[in-house]
Amino acid sequence: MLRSLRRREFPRGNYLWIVVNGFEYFFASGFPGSVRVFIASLPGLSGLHVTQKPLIRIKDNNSNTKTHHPRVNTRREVNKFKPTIYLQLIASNYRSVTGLYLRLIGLVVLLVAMYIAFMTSKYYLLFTTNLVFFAAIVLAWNIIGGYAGQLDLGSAGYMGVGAIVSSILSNNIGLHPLISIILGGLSSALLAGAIGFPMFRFGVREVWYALSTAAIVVILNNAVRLLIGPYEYYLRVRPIKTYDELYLATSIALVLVFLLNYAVNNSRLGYYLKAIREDELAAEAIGVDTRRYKLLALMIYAFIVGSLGYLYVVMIGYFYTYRFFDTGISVSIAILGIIGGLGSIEGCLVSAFLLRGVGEYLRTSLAHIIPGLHLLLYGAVLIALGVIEPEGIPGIARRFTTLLKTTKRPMGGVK
Amino acid sequence: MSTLLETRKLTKRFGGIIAVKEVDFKVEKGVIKGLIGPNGSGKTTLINCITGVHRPDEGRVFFESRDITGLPPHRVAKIGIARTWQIVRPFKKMTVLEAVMTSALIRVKDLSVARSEAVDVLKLLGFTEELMNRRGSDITLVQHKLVDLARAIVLKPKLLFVDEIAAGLRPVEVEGLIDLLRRVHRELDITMVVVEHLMTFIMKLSDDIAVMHEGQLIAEGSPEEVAKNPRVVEVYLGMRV
Amino acid sequence: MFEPTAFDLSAIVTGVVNGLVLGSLYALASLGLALIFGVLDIINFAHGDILMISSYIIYLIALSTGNPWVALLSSLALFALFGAGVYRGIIHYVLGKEPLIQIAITVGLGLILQNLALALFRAEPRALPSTLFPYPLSIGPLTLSANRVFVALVSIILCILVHYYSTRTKLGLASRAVAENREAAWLMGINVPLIYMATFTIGVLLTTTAAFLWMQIGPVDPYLGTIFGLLCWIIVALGGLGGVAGIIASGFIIGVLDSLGSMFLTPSGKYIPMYIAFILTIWFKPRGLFGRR
Repeated sequence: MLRSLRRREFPRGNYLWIVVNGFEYFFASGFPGSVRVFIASLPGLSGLHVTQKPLIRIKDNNSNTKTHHPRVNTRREVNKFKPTIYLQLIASNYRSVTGLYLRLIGLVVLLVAMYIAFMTSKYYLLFTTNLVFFAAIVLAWNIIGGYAGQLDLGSAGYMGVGAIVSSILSNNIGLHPLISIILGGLSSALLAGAIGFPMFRFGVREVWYALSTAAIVVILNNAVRLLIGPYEYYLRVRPIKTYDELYLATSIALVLVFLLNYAVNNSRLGYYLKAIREDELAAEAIGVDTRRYKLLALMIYAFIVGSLGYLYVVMIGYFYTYRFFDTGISVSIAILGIIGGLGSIEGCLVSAFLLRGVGEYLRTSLAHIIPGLHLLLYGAVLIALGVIEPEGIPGIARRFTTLLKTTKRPMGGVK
Repeated sequence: MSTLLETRKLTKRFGGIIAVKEVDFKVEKGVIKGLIGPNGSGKTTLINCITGVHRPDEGRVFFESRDITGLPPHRVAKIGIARTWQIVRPFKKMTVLEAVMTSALIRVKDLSVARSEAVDVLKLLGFTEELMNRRGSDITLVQHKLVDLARAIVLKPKLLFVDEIAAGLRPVEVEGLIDLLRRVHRELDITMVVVEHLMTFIMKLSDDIAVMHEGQLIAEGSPEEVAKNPRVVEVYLGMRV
Repeated sequence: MFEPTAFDLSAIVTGVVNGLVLGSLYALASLGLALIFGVLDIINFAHGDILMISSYIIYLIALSTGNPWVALLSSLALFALFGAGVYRGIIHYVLGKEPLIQIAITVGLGLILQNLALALFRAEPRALPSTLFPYPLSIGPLTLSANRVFVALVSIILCILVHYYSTRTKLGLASRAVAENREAAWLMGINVPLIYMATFTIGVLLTTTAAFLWMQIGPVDPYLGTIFGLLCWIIVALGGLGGVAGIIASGFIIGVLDSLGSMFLTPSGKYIPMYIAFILTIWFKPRGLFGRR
């Protein structure tokens, strides 16, 4: 198998050969390029070799950086028995396929566990559904806010537009709910495109971007109020009948948004967006069309949030109103995203579940004694983070791991 | 030798100040061209006008005899002009490797290909694997400058502007940089324009030097010719050549 | 819904005059924000909530002592301490940090102030039982409450004083030097941290004064801060950071839009023209209507 591969032109990338008892195993590019791979205790393992094909031709007159081709000297590797092999492949934590599966399984297990824990109580099931729903919104925000670094305070606007469009389509025109959800998402994305195009064209950024998006929510609030009046409109068509179905639908939505985030993170788009977040001019100078990719990120985010709007309508009891356009919701979404660490999927999930969970619990249980206690909590956490660890949950996690490492290996041990 | 880049009567004003005045600047293919001049003589503004950061008020820019005047920076980068920054613009929350990968991804589609290209360039610039996996916030100034350079090189540009890369570095580090730039030029076959206000740095490195003063080109030629030019001596009076 | 209540000229004139009164107050309220943004380069999203909480403090003291002037003076003293404390405790840590961190931390502060107010005073709006000059004043054909004239006059005078402060006094000039170039100012022997703290405190005190004037013409509730915060940012965006004149002019524009908007649209529909004006300004004149450095 290896021989036939070797004869062909090798695809470029990282390769891993493992030789076990004389048999060669070949892993092509896309090998879990993550973290450190410890293969110390695997029985029968006799050799390990990593190579990569150099892509830049280096003239041969230079001695220490010669062109080298993927080579694997099987016999030598087999003969030289290594009991412990420590190998670090080049990549960051995310780029691993097994990592994705592990995370996905973790998320599904969490969702199922929460369902089992709360399925007996309708109240807590709805409470959990609400958490799952907002976790999905925070993850959607992560695309524009976390990766692209644009502090968007318009999520309530996009959600509201999606919610109202899809409700009207399914209720008054009688379209299938799924189709109306997609159309709702599309109309949000279109709106975002119409707003985002001039905004990025004229270079609106930072505080002005945040303020404009907040202003758009206020404008939408008042415009929609003038259009549909200060009433609540109930939906006749109700495809989701029970709380369990609602929980299932919301969970599926969360898993989909999670996968989308993962896909963005591991694509060119993700790299471009992160570069834009770090330094827009520098990103532009290496060839990133910053306007185009910011607009793309904005529209993806608006599409997700807009299509989630219908679930929001279902969740609050099958009605829609102009009150959907609430800057408070937008701000708290952005807060959860910031605390989750910009661009960290796990961080966003933790902050959405943990912080919002505690916050909502406080809100619902103590609202009559101290209203707004959950917002006090958010405020305190924000200030503490800003002063102590501006990178949010991943920053704290990193501190924690370095703490563990340093206690394991005292300073003298590392070169 | 063919002309790679040419500007014709390029002019840029900021309010009442003329930062670049009717500059005709030419770069031949395959050379290391030096661009010197005292601080504030308009060197960086000239680069900014060529790379699309600023829009020139008058004049035109030709690259491979194609008019590229006023193209946005990302288009300029894609047709083969890369640059580094006088004041580094790091991607602090990305690892060194990720930052260079982003650049590589402009040219190639596949992540693993981009990764190995980035690794090769970083290795050429002397980065160890441990360093490649450090975040931008955890490296030194000279490493930042090298990452900046790597981000530009991995684009496989035809022309590379190196803007005051020696600024703020220690003499030993500067020596290393000269060797490195020479190697990049030789081994990767990239035409370079090296901008500097330090004469010594440029004398050692370049085949051909242009001198800017108060927004205008005042001299051009080989290092020896330029060093003897009375205008240049006048401008640099008091500076050791 | 779009029906105009009255189209006669006198109503419009009254609307405009009321708008100018509101506008001068808005300008004063935004001045503190512009000062802090200009000198410290801090994006303060808690500005409106600081105004809101000082309105409550003024209300409480005025109610318990019965004297509005005592309320003003004691709350000024209180908020000088508050401003310095917030600067040392919070703002100091995010100087020069990324805008997002500054926004996050000041949003956090705003949330705390807003929800403290909500917890302590509940949501119902509160107004002072009596105002300073509760009688009408006739100027030509116009009849205005003397209270509003007082508010407008004091606001404008204070704005002019701030202009003199920043162009004539030593502290003001030093803070402008810091705004221009922090390092150079350091090297010139200006005590930059002190200037920062002083400027932040002055900004807060201006806001407290604006709160005092607001209490003369309107009620306070915990959400007043959100409205004022956005309004002040809009005025700073329109006025640019060019100076006091720009702030006053854009304060007038927003005030008139506010007053006429609530006459011809619904009371909350007035935000539509204001915010659209804001967004268009940001898009087409990113340096503000009146220039920015």
